[in-house]
Amino acid sequence: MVAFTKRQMVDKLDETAKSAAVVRSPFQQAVHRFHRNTVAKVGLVMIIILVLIVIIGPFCMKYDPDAVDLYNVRAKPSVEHLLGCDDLGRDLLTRLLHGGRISMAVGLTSALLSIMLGSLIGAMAGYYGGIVDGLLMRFTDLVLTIPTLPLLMTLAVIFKPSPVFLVVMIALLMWPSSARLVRSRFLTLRELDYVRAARATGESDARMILTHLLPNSLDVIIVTATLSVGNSIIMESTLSFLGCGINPPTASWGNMLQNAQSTMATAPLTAIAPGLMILLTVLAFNFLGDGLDDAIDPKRDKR
Amino acid sequence: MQFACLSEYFLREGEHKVLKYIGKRTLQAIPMLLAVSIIIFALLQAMPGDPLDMYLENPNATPEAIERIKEAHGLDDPIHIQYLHWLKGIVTGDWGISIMSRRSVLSLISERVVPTLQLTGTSFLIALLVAVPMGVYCAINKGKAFDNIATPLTFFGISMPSFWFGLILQLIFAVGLGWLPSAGRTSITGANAGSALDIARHLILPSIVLSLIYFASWTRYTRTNFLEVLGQDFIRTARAKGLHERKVLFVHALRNALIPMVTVIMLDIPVIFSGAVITERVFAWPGMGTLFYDSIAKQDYPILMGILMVNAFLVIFANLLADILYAVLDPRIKY
Repeated sequence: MVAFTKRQMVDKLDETAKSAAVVRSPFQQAVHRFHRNTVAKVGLVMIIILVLIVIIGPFCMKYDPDAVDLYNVRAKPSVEHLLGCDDLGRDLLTRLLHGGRISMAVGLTSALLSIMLGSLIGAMAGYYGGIVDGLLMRFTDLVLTIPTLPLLMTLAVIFKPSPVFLVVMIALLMWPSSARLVRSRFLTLRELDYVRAARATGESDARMILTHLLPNSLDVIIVTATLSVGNSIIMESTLSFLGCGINPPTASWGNMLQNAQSTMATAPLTAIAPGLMILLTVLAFNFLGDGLDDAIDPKRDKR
Repeated sequence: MQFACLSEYFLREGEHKVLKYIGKRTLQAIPMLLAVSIIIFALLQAMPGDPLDMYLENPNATPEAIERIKEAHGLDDPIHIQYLHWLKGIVTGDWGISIMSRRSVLSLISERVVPTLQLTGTSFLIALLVAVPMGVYCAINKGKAFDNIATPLTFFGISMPSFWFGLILQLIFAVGLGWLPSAGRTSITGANAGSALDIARHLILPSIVLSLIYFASWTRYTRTNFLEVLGQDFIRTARAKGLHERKVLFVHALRNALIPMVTVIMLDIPVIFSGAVITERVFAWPGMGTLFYDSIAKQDYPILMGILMVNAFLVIFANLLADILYAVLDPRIKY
């Protein structure tokens, strides 16, 4: 038997009281879980670094990304050209940084647009139910049925795409998955007591959706948005690689690989570098998205 | 064993019920197919250029002759009549003539089917044979070294732009090491050009690239599913009965974990076509994807429409099959 002094007893009690008082809100719990998820933190740090590089980088380069320099065709990496030059003698690093701006901008904006569209349609379907739900979900199924890549390629032939057009088209084909997720969340929320109470007080539909249902679906929306940034970056780069996206001379990570097959034997970096940037960026967003997904779901508290 | 289960189920519930469900779902697919065909037809209408443009440059084409052609092809008809005409052609096998090669679209597409099936089939098989065992292994050994390495690695598979993966494999195995051919389906010269072995050698790189798209997501899906099933009561019961762990895992758990996989795999079948467009382009594989890509470059609309239609049909058919298989395999589903 260990005898406590009075002082120790007080300390002990104090400690117990303190630990009992630590009641975390769901948001704090999520932050805590996210904090313990190394992979997600790595993703977040990678995204911050990549975004900074792409924003600041082009200002530090002395070359014009589109300037053809026939004396430096497929030049080897040197102090002058850190990563060498491509088949038109353009500085690879400069194009990589400028291309990154385009690729990231297209990826982020089309993900944002598609999540907004998806949330709107999912919210309408989930909130109103009945015929509205039936019609909207059949429409969603229909869009899901459309083969995305071949359709985007066909559209690119019809309307020579500008970057803005590309963003809109990618978003128009990507919203269905987020619509489904938001809808199913709305269907769950709709039956909860606080929502019924709010409805009983006679709040308008718009207010119900905007102040009660949408904020409580924000976790689903954020996770889907993060994951779809990666998807739309891949979509843009694939289209640009196939010659149906961002048109040269404007650089994007995808169209920088268009001629990679003819240059990779002599200048392997022209084939490696842009793809590596795509991989790293998409990887970062997928790490983050998956980590957020784990963080918001208490059931998935693994470790 | 699965079969015995199924027949028992049919006897119990009455076979007509399942058949009725299959019939109902098939009928539901038809409006879907019509809607997609309308979208594709609308695209066709939005295409720049007019089928008659090429006659306008011909000095021998009198206005009367052009009028006659218009009438013969129904180009003055209202748009819905033109659509019905086009739809009739699709149904009866008249898919139009390619602008570039002046050959029938249907025959052009059908001669590309075999190479595409070779590529997609092999990739599907590779993905399935690697992903499912790997997912199961990760789930059984959850939190151990292999799982901790393999699961984050699947992220690479999901995040990898497949065309770049193809380029890198070419760079390493064809350009660098010279072990495998970099492109094409057969060698142009050589004693065994065109033999099965030759095609198989050409098939290795593209099918690895194409299978990567599925490999990662299927591994993750199998792992999640398997873990979920392992947490269920009937597994605890089976273990409590003293059943051999191997039997619990590979008979009770695996079978139940694979049922949702059937749907996922079915729904991925159409996705493989988009993948084929990319992979076939990178490896110059002479399949439908390459045909599609070439037709894009040449703006050969009839072929584009034909391939889009084939693809849409495939998607809807796969959806249908997924629903039916799910209903048949999972007795808990109520029709």
